Amino acid sequence: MQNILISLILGILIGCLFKFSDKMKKINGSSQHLGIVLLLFAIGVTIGMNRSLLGNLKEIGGISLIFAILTSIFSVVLVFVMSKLILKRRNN
Amino acid sequence: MTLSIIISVLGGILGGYFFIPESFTLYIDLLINLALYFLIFCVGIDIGLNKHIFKDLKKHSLIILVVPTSIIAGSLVGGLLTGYIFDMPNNLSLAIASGFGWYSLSGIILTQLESAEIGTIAFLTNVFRELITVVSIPFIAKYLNDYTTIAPAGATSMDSTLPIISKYTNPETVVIAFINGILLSGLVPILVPFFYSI
Repeated sequence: MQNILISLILGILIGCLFKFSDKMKKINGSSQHLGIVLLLFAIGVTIGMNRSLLGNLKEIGGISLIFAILTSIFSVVLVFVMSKLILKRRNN
Repeated sequence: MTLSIIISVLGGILGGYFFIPESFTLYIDLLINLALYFLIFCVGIDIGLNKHIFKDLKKHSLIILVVPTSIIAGSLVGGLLTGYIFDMPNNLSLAIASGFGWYSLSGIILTQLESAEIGTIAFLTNVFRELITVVSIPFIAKYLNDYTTIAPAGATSMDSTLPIISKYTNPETVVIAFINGILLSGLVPILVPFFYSI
């Protein structure tokens, strides 16, 4: 996992230390797009190669959907309540 | 962007199922790791280039702190609850919930740490979370408030869902959304392995 952190810190340092022209920023954006596409393709391949996984995709899909719904709902409720409190304090 | 995401995943699944032999697993793992490091490196450059956001932090300091903290707390509660429903160990459900919508990263981390099955759950969870975000932002902006549109977006509020947040709210919310996305994206590679290991 430390490789991920090293990559992140290296990127931040380069972004901080060097001036990027608009063209280079654009290249960085397209590189990210390319990185995501490559990554998702490779993930897709590992899913496709895993026959037993595809067999229980129905069950996994259901679990994932509930994870997504509950994490979203609780995030929304908490942010809403907390931001309401802050706005109220700001107005007083 | 969304279309290319769907095409690359589906293309990969079909390729893996029909064409690519199992002896290629090692190369695929290598490709995943290299693409991941490259991607994180590019995200780092983005953060470094936007160092002015560190100045903007002072102006909205309280709300900037409260939004990501509430999203993290809300996601963890939602994750734990889902874990209880499906009888899953707490460390796994918390790690899955810590993806905060960033599907590529948490899916890969958990595939490496645990199994392809848990990685896929993390991946799908975040894909669904992004879909929920896209659909719900207009309603949240209308019936709740602007800040709350950042909540379902989680880590994606700095890139893929930022244009939608921007469309339905105001520039102040966009700045906060961006900073929130940076903070949460930075926390995903830390929190997913952390919760997994507890």
